[in-house]
Amino acid sequence: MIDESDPNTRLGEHEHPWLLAYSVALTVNGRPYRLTVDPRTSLLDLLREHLQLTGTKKGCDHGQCGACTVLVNGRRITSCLTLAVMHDGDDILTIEGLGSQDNLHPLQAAFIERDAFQCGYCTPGQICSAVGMLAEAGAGWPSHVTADVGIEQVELTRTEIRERMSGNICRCAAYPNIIAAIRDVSEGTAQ
Amino acid sequence: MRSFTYERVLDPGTACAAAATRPDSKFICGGTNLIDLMRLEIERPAHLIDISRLPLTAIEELPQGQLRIGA
Repeated sequence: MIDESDPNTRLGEHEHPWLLAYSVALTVNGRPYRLTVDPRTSLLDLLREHLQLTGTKKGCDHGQCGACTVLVNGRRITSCLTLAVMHDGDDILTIEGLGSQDNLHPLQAAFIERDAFQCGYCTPGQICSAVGMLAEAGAGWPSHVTADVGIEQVELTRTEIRERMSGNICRCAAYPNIIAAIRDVSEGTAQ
Repeated sequence: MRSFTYERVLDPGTACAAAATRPDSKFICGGTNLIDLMRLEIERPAHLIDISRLPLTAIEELPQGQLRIGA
């Protein structure tokens, strides 16, 4: 929490709000961090500029492309449209925390197997989004195309995956292979 | 984006009191609209009140068949 009596919290005076800085403690990929940030810092810029975790990409910086998608307490969000100060106490998972070169996350392996990218810029966001999406579907959340919103277990058809992944744009249009990779994992048929 | 002060509130009463004392403030929760507008300086709040942690998450059934949806 923000403690205004803490000298580290308020570097400037009230009449100089551009000098404000706030202390934020959060966990990123299992590691605890405490940082002092300008309140305008987005979570995306905290990850890329302060922690040098550049796996999370900045595409549009307007929440429209999904390249910056990360998981906050297990839920997917666009990290460009949320302030770092709002995540004091939160648990952040980025593409770097999902898997390593020697130990790929099943979705990472499926994206490679299915050739689910060309340039790869949207891929970290696509994969983080898919992790969040599979958890949502597993919890029974309906989507805009779910015919019966009362159903407990949604079948992740191509149409469902398309709709649920619609917040992640791929300029190379690798969509057919992205959907195939996600289906492999959701159906348990990944290599 | 212009700078601002920030506070996180944990209950609705504190949120209302904070907004009452700061007419130049805005509530923020998800931020998907406000942050975009602040970047373009269409919105220029001097203070942000973060209501994302308010415990208004339940859907309650009321006696006369109505639902109250926390948001």
